[in-house]
Amino acid sequence: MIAAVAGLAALAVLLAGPVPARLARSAWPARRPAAALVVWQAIGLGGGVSLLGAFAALAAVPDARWLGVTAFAATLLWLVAVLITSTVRVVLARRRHRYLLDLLAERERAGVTVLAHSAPAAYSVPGRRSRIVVSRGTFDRLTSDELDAVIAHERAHLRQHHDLVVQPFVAWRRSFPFLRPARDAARAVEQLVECLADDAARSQTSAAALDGALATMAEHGYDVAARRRRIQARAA
Amino acid sequence: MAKHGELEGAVLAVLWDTPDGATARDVQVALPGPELAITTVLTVLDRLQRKGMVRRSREGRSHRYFAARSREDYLSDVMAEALGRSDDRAAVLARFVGSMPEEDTEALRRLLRRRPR
Repeated sequence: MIAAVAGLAALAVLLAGPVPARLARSAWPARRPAAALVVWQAIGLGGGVSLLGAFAALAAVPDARWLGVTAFAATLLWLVAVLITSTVRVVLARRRHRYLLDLLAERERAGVTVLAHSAPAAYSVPGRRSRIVVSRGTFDRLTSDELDAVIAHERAHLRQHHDLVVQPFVAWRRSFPFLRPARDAARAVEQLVECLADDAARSQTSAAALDGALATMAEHGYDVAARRRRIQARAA
Repeated sequence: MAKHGELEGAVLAVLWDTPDGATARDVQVALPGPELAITTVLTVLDRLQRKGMVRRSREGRSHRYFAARSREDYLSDVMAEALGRSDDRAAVLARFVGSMPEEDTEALRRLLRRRPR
């Protein structure tokens, strides 16, 4: 039983440290974003389960029974509590944002909300009553092909429920802000869902339109160099 | 639900256009479309007040209602959320180009300082 405790604990440490660090540095995820997302989810789930498993095995050791039970219960409670509070916070923030959007929307056309502001913004609010929002500043700066690419990108986020994919990793980062791998994982997952949405936008519109939209956003201080390189490489 | 939201938006729009405030009767008259019952207008005003969107002061036997903040204030809030940098925001909204670059709060301020429209 001691061997089981040690083995599971070692696995948990591996999955919480070296494995995500290695994956965050590799290049293949940008080429196979869907597969990479599954690997990240497996790492997250595997890390949590092996940690809980180590404590469960510890509870079977006669001398360490209560230590194991307590650690198991505390860890499980902590993980569940963090996920719930993070989800509630996100849902409430979305609801308020959506409420204000409905009060402020300049107009709504084909499911796209237009905000009367000159700053360039384009985003979606996920959830049951999702919204795609484009500011007037974005409208004025992009060609209609580029605008279509932006909207296709946002529709892909909503359709593929990327918010649900990202949510546990954001919660994990929030619960362990001092753990580098937690930050790496959340960042990597956020980048991977952008890759997926870019691929959808590219196939539904064109690489040129998407790249043009990103180029315009880059003029306003956004760092999109990596995404543009990726789109151009895949289009070639 | 959507109907309530639309009404709240319409009533708030009236108050945004009357900086000196308006009575429920003023709002009733100013609202576009077929005239609503005054009780409906009062219900909507009450709901907006509970949400903190509307303030009121007593005037004789009735109340005068004011928008708690201007349309531009709320628009700035929404845009700050849309452009701003925060761990939570990444989960709340799915942006086309992510958030503003790290530490680049000056760029964010510059964008938000421009007049709406």
